[in-house]
Order: sequence, then structure tokens, then C-alpha cells
Amino acid sequence: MIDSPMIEVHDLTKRYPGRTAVDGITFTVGRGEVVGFLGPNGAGKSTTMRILACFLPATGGTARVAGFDVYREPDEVRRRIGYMPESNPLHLDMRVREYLKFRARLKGLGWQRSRDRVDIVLQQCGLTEVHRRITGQLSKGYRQRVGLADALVHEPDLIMLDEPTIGLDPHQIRAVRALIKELGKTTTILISTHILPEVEMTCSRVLILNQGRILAADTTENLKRKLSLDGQVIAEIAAPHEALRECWRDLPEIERWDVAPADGEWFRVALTPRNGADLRPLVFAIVRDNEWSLRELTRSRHSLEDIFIHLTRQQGKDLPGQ
Amino acid sequence: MDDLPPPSFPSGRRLGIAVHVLVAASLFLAILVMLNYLAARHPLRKDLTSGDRFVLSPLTLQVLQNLTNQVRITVLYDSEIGLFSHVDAMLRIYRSLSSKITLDVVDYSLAPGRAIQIRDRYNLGRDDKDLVIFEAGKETRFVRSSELSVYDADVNRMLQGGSREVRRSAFKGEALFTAAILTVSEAIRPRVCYLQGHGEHDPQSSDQNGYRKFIELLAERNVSVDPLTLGATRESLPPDCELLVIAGANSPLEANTLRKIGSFLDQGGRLLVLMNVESLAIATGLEEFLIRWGIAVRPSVVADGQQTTGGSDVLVGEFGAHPVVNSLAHGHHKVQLLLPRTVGKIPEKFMPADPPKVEQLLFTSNAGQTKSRIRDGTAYYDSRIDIQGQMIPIAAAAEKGGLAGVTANRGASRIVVVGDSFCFGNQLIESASNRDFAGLAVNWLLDRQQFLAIGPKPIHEYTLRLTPTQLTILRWLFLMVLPGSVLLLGIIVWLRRRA
Amino acid sequence: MNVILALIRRELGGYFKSLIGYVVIAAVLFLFGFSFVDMLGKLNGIPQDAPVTEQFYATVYFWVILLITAPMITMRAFALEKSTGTYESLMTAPVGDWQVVLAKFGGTLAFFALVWLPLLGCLFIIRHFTGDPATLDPRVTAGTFFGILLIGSLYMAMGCFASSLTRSQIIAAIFSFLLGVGLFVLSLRSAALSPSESGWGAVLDYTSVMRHLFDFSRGIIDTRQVVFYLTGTAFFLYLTQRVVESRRWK
Ligand SMILES: Nc1ncnc2c1ncn2[C@@H]1O[C@H](COP(=O)(O)OP(=O)(O)OP(=O)(O)O)[C@@H](O)[C@H]1O
Ligand SMILES: [Mg+2]
Repeated sequence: MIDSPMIEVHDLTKRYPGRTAVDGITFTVGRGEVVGFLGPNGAGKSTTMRILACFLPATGGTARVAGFDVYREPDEVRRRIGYMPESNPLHLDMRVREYLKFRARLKGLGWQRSRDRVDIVLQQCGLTEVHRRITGQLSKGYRQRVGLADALVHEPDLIMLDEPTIGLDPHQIRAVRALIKELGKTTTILISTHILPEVEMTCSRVLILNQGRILAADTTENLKRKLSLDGQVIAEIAAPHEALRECWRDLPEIERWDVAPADGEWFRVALTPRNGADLRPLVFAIVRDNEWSLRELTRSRHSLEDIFIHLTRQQGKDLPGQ
Repeated sequence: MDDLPPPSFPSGRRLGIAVHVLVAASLFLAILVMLNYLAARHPLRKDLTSGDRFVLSPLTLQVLQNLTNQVRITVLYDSEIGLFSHVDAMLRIYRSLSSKITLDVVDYSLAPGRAIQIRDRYNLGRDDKDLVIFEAGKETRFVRSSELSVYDADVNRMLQGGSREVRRSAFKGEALFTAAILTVSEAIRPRVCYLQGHGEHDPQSSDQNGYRKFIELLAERNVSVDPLTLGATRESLPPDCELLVIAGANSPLEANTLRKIGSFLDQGGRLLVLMNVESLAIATGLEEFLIRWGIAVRPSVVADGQQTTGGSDVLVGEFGAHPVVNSLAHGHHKVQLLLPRTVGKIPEKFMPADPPKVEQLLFTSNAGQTKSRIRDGTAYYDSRIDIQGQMIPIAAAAEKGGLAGVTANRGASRIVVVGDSFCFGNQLIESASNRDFAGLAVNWLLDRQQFLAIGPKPIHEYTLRLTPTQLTILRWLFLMVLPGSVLLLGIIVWLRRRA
Repeated sequence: MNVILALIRRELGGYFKSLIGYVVIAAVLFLFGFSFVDMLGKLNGIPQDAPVTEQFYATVYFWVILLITAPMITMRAFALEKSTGTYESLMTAPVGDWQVVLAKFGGTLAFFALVWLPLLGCLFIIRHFTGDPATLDPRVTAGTFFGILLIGSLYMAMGCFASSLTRSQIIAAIFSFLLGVGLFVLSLRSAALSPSESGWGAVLDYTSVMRHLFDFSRGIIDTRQVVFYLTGTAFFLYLTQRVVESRRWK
């Protein structure tokens, strides 16, 4: 069991009456990975997480956490996960420390150990000052932290956070990011979020889900490369317009090009490579050979957001109506 | 991949589980129902009270275990009425001890329809209530609520002239119920003889002075009533006769009749004598006969200046301390008598050797008066011999423990003498509490030895005494202060904690 | 066990941290106070022979109070957690369905017992005003409270079941009220039906909750009644557990 991957999902399907929320997804999350779970609204992220947390049954397929089947051994699975649900539900009538203590006891921690762990997570999540406050009277960001602390309190093997950073201020987002990075060294983490830079910075891998299907599952770097979105080169060259348009035609490395007039005799050229090759030396060589002038040469980097938009747009025409 | 683990959620799983859950739930339900069935078959009742209130006597247990007939017990009661709780609790124990018993408790205020059915079934009056009916085969026996209590009279207070405070002290339901079950289930009918031939009231007649209703009252107790003429031919009373009733004889009884009655009494017989004004001027022989039993029937009519409705009747509200009248005293009931004669206890010095235990049962109020001068069939007050302005006795009871050996089968001899016989006639038996009085007297007379062993169960009676102020204070406390303060506390908590 | 205790503590805390707990206690105090004062007025000066507990507890008022408060106490058990979403965090913690059900039931029953406790005081008031220490038999009182607890446990179990079916507290309250009233009406019906007439009558008599309370308030403990309440409670708790469990396969 120790060497089994943390999450193994095979052909998992969840159907609601009249709607398929998760449509035969298959993926694996290895131990120690920090995985971002992305997808537009209604993609099925929360549903998948709920199935993994043994809260919902699936309609078909297999899901295993730490080698335990979520349906057959839910107790083993639940003991190993720290799950923060999407809406971050808390008992709003309890005080912060009281609530965490209660949750720790619920998760089977002994009396002394639950005290120690609560102290630690209060520290980790920056809740020490508010530990006497009633959770219902906290601001949303602080409640979010309480939910996070709850997910961590029993030192789970797998932490699943469903949109943990909504409602946090930038400082706090940074702090959470740091916390996740820190935790990620020892634990497996699955985060669903819409804040993509965060994923880019914290996650080693992303899973992109749309309409219940997995569109991509890879490291961000690989994704960028595979989708050939990377490596578009922008150059500003002073040259005769015609010559500038003609010179790219015969080059096999270049897939598309575009020439637009800039100011004066300058033109702005956008070049897309065929298989991710770096076009900058080639451009420079051409300019030098023709004795043109070059005032800018940049290789644009696409963000995860671009990938996300790119990937989900085609199917996303009917998104709003879902 | 061939070594894929079996799917977590195979198709068709839901139907299978649903069926499984349904089956398991029905199985579980079946087990629970079975447990209940077992429990119902083997009931165990534990009484937590200290007074052994619900521990039945061995005699009752024996009667219940040996029951062969179905006995149907119907309780027609208002559950708000005193003693209901005891009647109900006790009969439930009876039922739990014998499968032959069916118990039907009808609260006539909750289920008036069923009450009507029951009244029809047992030919009860429209307003007849608060009674227990025992039925087996054709036999029925009624036990009325007035018969059920044993009272403690506070005699000392009465002697000091205060009004009597009578406390209900015990519940004798068990003796009555067990006797009733025994009589209906085994069709044992105690025999009551009704003496005739001396101008007694007609037992068949429905006239106002007929005794038909009184005979019915006897029949309610599941006794057979036979008319009896003790002519020269009859050597003695029937051997199975338990009670002899002499109701309003107004011609002299033959000496040999009196002798036969005497020996009947000596053998533990029971006698109810109802004298009346018509025999005032003649000696029926009973007067002399009763002296031997410590009871004096005087040739005088009693009137009561205060407790009367028409002058010739006496409304009795003062009672002696005796099982026959204790419940009347407790309930502040009245008995209405018509021109009663003085019936009292003879003075101690005239008591025969081996004196019986005599108690006076009914008294006039302090405004009592005797009238013993008779002119033209009417009695007048004679200041020389008559008395007035005091309580005058009108009825008495005597009891003498049986002679060893002779009376072992019947127990003590008992006599009740009442100075009026019209009071149990068809008309007057309905007025005041006359019917209860008649029933109680008959019960006491028919009390059978074997059931004396069943002791009454003590009852603890208590009375709340609150002044209006105290009530008001409590009302404020419970309706305003307590709930209000809790609510206030709640609102404070809520205000402080609300999100 | 620790888990159950932690959950029960949380349940009880929930009552006292929200208005509902105080409202229920105040309502019971008011209604019972009303019946108490009413009975005091009625019985004042009249000699009584039935046990105090029977006079003051085995009344229609008791049923009114029970029928009203049982749904109020139990409606939040599951429905509130479902509607606020905490049900998800509860059920994704490593707790067994039975632990959750027993804790919910234990919490409601403990609160129910707490609600009735102050009313013991009424008995002492009665004892004071009769001036007779023998009026109050501690064993009968114990029997009465044992009975109230048993009846309460059945009603709490029914309420928990109703609450487990829905995420709306109102619907849960209505449903558990209907269940409770149904049982009560059956026992009213049994008063109007002869047990000897049919098997039905005997069954109704057996399940007559009003009857049972009479016995308890007289200090009689009958195994049949104890078995009835325990199995009834077990039945509804079992159903509740099945409903809670059904979330995982439905
Ligand atoms: N209880 C339900 N009944 C019916 N359909 C549901 C239910 N819950 C979710 N769905 C549907 O399942 C699909 C997936 O929902 P899910 O909550 O998993 O999306 P998500 O990826 O978490 O979206 P978001 O980013 O908005 O949180 C949606 O189309 C939603 O409408
Ligand atoms: Mg979601």
C-alpha cells in the first residue's frame, strides 16, 4: 500500500438526473505531489473531490486513496485525508479554538495531542490572535483560515482543498501559498482553484477538467510545450515591407507569421514556431544577413491562464447556459 | 491494464443495495416485533412504591390461577375520579396474571359512545357510572365505587363535637374484585332470603313502596334472592342462606319464626332488619329479639328540625364510625329516611353477657327530636318521655364473633337494623345516597369469611392547602418569572453571539 | 466513544449557544407551569389519593408539551447540519454512521432530560403545601422520570429519523410532529376501543403511550413497556442509520 499512488481514479463517472457531472475521468496523483485541479465553473471539480472524500458515491468507475477504495473502505480513506469543502462550512456558534479542538477529537486525536496540534495549526494559519473569537463573527478570510486549519489538524496524508483561497487578501494568499509549499514537501495536496498564478507557483502538476472530462494532466511546462503555445517571437524590424513578408515563407521552422506596421519604417513581426523551437537566433541571423535593423526581439511566455482559456474555449461555447 | 482493481462503483449496485437494505430493515423490524411479542407473553411488573400496593394476596393468585372460564371485566369510569388510578392499576395486574381475563377500561367522558353500549349491554341506567362489571357466562357482578374504600374516621374530633373528618385510608378493591371473579366464574350465588307473611314490602312490586329495585340491587351482587315464609312446616332457614332480609314487617312474628331466625344468627347468619313507622304501635317481636343483640328499637318516631325536606323525612348527614357508613361520611353524602324510628344501642348495663359489638350508624342533626305519643295514628312529642335538641340514632349494626366450631363456615354473625323501610322502596331508594347506603349495608352483611383474609391496601391521602395569595404567587412564578428569565437569558446569549 | 462524547458535547452546546434551546426550555416551563398551576387550583383543598406524579404528569398537558417540544428539539439534529453544509465536513471526518446517529440521539435525549429536570422542583412545592412528607414517594418519582425518559427516547429517535430525511428544519419538525401525534392518537383510539373485541384492540392497548405514562407515574415498571420503548427507539435509530448510510450508495 505504501508504494501505491495517493490517488488513483479510473473511469470515474458521476451522473445526476439529467446531467453528467463527471464523465469517465482517469488520473493518478503520486505521493508528495502538489496538484492543481482546474476547470471552469461546473466542470466537476467539487464533485470529484466529494467522491474522493467519500461524501458522495459515484455512478461508476474506481477511486482509490492511498490504496484504499473510497467505497469499500471509507473509514481508512477518511482517516487519511484532510478535506476542506467548497463552501467552507463551520459551526458558526463555536469559538475558533473550541471548533478546532472538536474537529481534532472527531478525527480521533487524543486529548493532549489534539491540544498540541490545535496550537500548531492556529500558528500555521495565523489564527493565534483570534482563537477566542466566535467563528460566526470572523471575517470571511479568517473563516477560510479556520477551514484550512481544520483540514490540517490531524496531519493527513492527503490534503484536498476546494477553492481555499477565495476571500483571502493578497498577504494571506501569499501566506497560504507558502504554507502549501511547505506542506507540499511532506504531504500530497490536491487544490482546486480559479486563481491560476497560484497554481503556477505552487503546483508541480495540473489537471484541467471541463464538462466532466480531463482535458490535460501534466506539468505546466510540458503542457505549454505540448500545446505549442510557447515560443512566439515578436521582433520589431526596420525593413522593406515586401521583403519582410516574403522572407519567412520558405522557412520550415515557422508555422505562422504576421507583419504589422509599427511607427515609421518599423514593422512588428509575430512568428510562431512549428514545434516549440526557439526562433530568436534565426530571426537575428536573417536581420544580420539582410542588413536590416532590429530594435526588439522577445520570446513571449504564455501563462497558464492562456492555456486554460485555450483549452477550455472550444468546448466552452455553451458554458454560460449550463 | 488487466490487474485493475474491481470497480468501486459497479453498475447495478444501487438496486442490489436498496433490496439488501429493505430486506435487512424488515428483518430487523421482525426481530423487534418478536421481542415485543415475547415481552407481552412474559410480562413482569415491578412496583416501586413502598406500600406493597400492587402485591396481590395468595388467595387472589390462587383464584386467578385456577380460572377456567373467560371473565370479562369492564371498568366504566372517569379517569379523573378518585380511586380510578387504584382500580385501573389493580385490575391490570389481574389481567397480567391470567390469560382468561379480558379487561376493558372505558372512560365515559372520553368515549361516551362506548359507555352507552356498555350501559345497554348490562341494562344500566343512563347515568350509571363509576363501577366495575365482572361477567362470565351469564353471571354478572357489579362493584360500585362507593364500595371500594376503607375510611378512617377521626373519632376524637367527632366526640369533641366537631364535624367529622373522614380520611380515605385504604382500598379494598382486591377483596371485592376477587370475590366478584370467583362468584361469576364459578357461578356461586350466595342465597338471600326475603322474609314474607308479616306485611313486608312486596319484592316484585314496582310501586313506590315496592322492593323491586332493592332486589335488583341484591342481584347486582350476583346473589339469588328467594322469598321465604317460615311457617310451621319449615324446620329452619335453608342451610345455604347467607342473609335474611326483613323489610317492614308490621304484624307480629311468630315465636317459632323468631326462634329459627335466632338459631340462624347463632350459626353466623346475617340479618337486615328494616323497621318502620307502621309497626310503631304493635310489638312485632323483633324489638325484643334485637335486645339480645344489643340493639334497641324504640316505639318512637324521629324528626329533625333542620335536616328535612318536608317535615316527615329526615336527611341524615351524621354518621357513626362504621364500614357501612364511612364512605358516606367521607363524601358528605346524605341518606333520606321517612318517619324513622329510634334505633340505637342499648345502654352498657343492660347488655347481655358475651355482648356483641354494636355501632350506631345514622344520626339526626343536633336538632333531633323523638315523638312517642301516638294519637290517631300520628306521633306527637311528649315532653315527659321524649327528648329533643340532640343527635338521635336511627340505625345500628351489631356483630358478634362466631362461636368456636359452630360458625366456622360463616364467620361472625352480623345484623344491621334501620329505623325505616320506605327508604329502600322503589321511590326513595333513588333519592339522596340511599342506594349507596343499601349497597354498603348489604355488602357488609354479605362479606364472606374467606375474603376477609384479603386485606385492604393502604392509600395515602393528602390535601393541598394553598391560600389564594400563595396560588397567585405560584402563578406568577410559573407563568411569568421562570419562563421569562430563561427567555431573557436566551436573548442575551443570542445577542452576544449572533453572527 | 470519545468521538461520540465529543459530538454529544457539541450537540448540547448547540442548544445553549442558540436561541432555540432557551425557547424550548421556556416553552416547557411555561406550559408545564400552566398545567401545574391549573392542577393546583383544581385540587386545592380536595383530598387526593392518586400519586402526585400521576396527578401532575400523566395529564393531557404532558402530551401537549411532549408533542410540541420533541420536534423543536430534534428538528435541528441532521437538517440544520445539512442546510449549513457542516454535514459535509462531519461526514468526511473519520466517524462511523452509527457514531453520528447515536451522538445525535444522545444529544437530543440529554437535552430532553435537562428540560424536564427543573420540574422536579414542582413536586417539592406540592410536598410543601400538603405539609406531609409522605406525599412524595421518591421511588414513584424515580419511576415517573424513568418513564418520561423512555417515552422521550422514543420521541427523540422519531425526531432524529425525521430530521435525517430532509435538509429543511421545518419539514423535519412537521414530519416528526406527525409521527408523534400519530402514536398519541393511536393511544387515544385505544381508549375508545375494547381490547377484547379484536386483535387490533390488544395491539393498540399494548402501544398506548398514555397508558404507559399512567403506569410509570404510579411507580410501576412493566417489562413490556420498557421493551416497547427500547425496541421502538432502536427501530427508529436503525432507520436513521440506514438513511445516513444511504448517502454513500444512493
Ligand atoms: N446535487 C446536484 N444535483 C444535480 N446536479 C448537480 C449537483 N451537484 C452538482 N451538480 C452539477 O454537476 C456539475 C459539476 O458541479 P461541480 O460542483 O463539481 O462543479 P465545479 O467544478 O466545482 O464548479 P465550480 O468551479 O463552480 O465550483 C455541475 O453542472 C452541477 O450543475
Ligand atoms: Mg466547485
